[in-house]
Amino acid sequence: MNKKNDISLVLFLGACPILANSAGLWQGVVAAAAMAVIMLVFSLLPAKKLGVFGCFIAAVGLATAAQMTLSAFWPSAAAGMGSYLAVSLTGLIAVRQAEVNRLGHTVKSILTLAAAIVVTASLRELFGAGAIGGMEIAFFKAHTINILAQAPGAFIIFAFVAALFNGLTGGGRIEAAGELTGEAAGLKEER
Amino acid sequence: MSLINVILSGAIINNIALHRFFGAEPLLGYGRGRSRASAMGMAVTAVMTVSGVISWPLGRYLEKAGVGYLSLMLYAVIICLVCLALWAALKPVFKKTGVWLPIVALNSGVLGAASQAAQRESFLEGAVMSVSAGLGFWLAVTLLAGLQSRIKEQYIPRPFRGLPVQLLTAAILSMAFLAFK
Repeated sequence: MNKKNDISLVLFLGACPILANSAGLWQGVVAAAAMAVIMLVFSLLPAKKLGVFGCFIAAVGLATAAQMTLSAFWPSAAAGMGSYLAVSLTGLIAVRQAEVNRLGHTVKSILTLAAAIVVTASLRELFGAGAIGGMEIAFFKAHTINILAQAPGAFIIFAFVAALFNGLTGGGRIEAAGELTGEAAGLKEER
Repeated sequence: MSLINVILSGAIINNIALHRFFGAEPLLGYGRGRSRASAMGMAVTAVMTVSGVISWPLGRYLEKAGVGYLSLMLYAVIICLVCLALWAALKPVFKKTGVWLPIVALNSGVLGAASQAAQRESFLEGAVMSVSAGLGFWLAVTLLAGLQSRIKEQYIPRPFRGLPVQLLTAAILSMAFLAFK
C-alpha cells in the first residue's frame, strides 16, 4: 500500500466508521480498536473462496462479535453507541481488506485508519464541545464551534484531516478516486 | 408518530447518509455523474425497501426467540439475497446504467436502514421507514453529484482535491438538511 491507494484518505473506504464514530475521543479509540481487531481477523479469512457476499456476511459477523465483546467488558460505552458501532464497521473496508489479504498491508491500513479516527474524533470533540476525552479545556469551552458537534462537523473535520494528509504526502493526485472504489475492492473482475 | 413524520424524518431530517453517516462510502465514492448517481440511488432505494420490509418480521421473531444479537447477521443475509434477486431480475438495466449492484448495496447504509426499520413499532412504520431512508439516500447522492459537477469546473487547491472537497460538499449538504430539524 502506498499513499496513492491509502484506503481511508484517498479511496473513501472506511469513511463511514470514521465519520460515525467521531463524536468524542473515547468513542474514536473504541472504534479504532474494534476496527483493528476486525481487520486483522478478516485478513486471515479466505476472501476469494468466500466471495463478495460471504465477505459481507463475515464482516457483519465480526462487527457483531466486537459489539458483543464491548457490551460484556464496557457496557456503558456499548450502550452509548448502540448498534452504531457494528453497523458502521461493516462495509466495503472489510471487502477491500479481504482483497489485499496481506498482513503487512493490513497493519499499515489499521494504523492509518486508527490515526484518522482518533484525530478526527479528538479535533471534533475539542472544537465542537471544548473538551478532550471528556475533560473540559477552558479556552476551547469558551470558544466552541457548535456546528462541529453536529453531523456536518464530522465531514468538515475529516475533510481537513484528509487535506492535511494530502498536503503532507503531496497527494490529491487521484482526482477520480471514487472510480477506483470497485477495483480497490477487488470486485471488478467479478462483473 | 404519524407516517408523514416517519417519511420526513427518514428522508430529510435524519438522513441516513448525511446525518447518520451510514453508506458514506458509496455516497462519496460513486457520486460522480448525475445519471449514474441517480441510477445508483434508485438501486440502493430498491434494496433498502425490500430488505427493510423483509427484515421487520424476521427481526421481531429473533427478538422474541431471545437471540436478538443475531439480527444484524440475519439482515446481512437478507440484503445479500435481495441483491442477488434484483441483480438477476434487472441485470441488463444495471449494466446499461453502469451500476454494479452488489458493490453499491453491500454497505452499512442498507444494513443501517434494515436495522432501523426492524426497530419500528409496526410493520407499516418499518416499511415506510425503509422507503424514506432509501429516498433520502437517493436525494443526497443526486444532490451531491450535481454539486460535484459544478465544483469540478472550479479551481481547487491541490491538498483539497479528491476526498477533502467531496467531504466539504457533503458537509454543506448536511448543513442544508440540518435546517429542517
